[in-house]
Amino acid sequence: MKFTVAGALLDACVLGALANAPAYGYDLTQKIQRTIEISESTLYPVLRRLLREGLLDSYDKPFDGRNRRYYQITDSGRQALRGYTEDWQAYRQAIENILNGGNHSDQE
Amino acid sequence: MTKNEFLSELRYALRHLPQEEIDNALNYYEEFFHEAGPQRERQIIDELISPNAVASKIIGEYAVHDAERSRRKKRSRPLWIAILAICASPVAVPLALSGFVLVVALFIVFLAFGISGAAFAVSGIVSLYAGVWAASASLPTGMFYIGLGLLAISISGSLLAGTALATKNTFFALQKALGKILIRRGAK
Repeated sequence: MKFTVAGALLDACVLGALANAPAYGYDLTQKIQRTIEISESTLYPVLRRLLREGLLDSYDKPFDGRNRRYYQITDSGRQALRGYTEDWQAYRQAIENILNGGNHSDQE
Repeated sequence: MTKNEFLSELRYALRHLPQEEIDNALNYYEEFFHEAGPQRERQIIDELISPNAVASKIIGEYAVHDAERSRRKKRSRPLWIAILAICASPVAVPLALSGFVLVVALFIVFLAFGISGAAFAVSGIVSLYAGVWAASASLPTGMFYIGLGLLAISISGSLLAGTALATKNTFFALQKALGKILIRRGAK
């Protein structure tokens, strides 16, 4: 994929990936990498930021004698995701307009 | 590089962050390696590029968070974190090295000016003395050397004063520029 997903879009994708179920770091990375190309080192700072902003919660669950840290979306996180989804619709439309030479502004 | 070497270098690169941040990061990556399994260890280390690359992202995110949190307080701490972010990044060493060499070259030039300023002073004083001594034998000759000496001394005065001023201003300008660069990088 040629396009870099970073910043707000990446935040949105992480929230989206956690919308239906919590996940732990490795699992979440795998899931996201099935859709977009990100480096292993990209995800951790994003998770930290979303945690600090209260959009995610984390909890530990023992597994196989170790502690797995799970990340789950919060109510604020769901709210943010709704906002991002709206922003994305507008953004997607604008990009498609430009790519199509600006001739199909009321497509679909 | 083995997984353990990677993790301990990562811990070292993060050493100036609060302990909680360091532990969280190390736990995350230890778990990550463990979940991936020993077969993927090599591949993951390659994809992570380097402990410093990983650390600089973590430090960068922390710096932004810390800067926003302490916006009303002194700005010196986020500045320090930003300095560490640059130091942890892979470009840091060649960048710092060339910057350092440039600064040294600049100060050598200033030193050279300073030395020639001093040389003018010395020869000026010698000429002055010789002129005074010669004046008793031949006034025109003495006056010539006295004049030469005074000229040399005034040149040296300008050189030394100019060098001192240039050195001081360059030094402070460097400090300011460095500060601006680091604040911008820390906020990225």
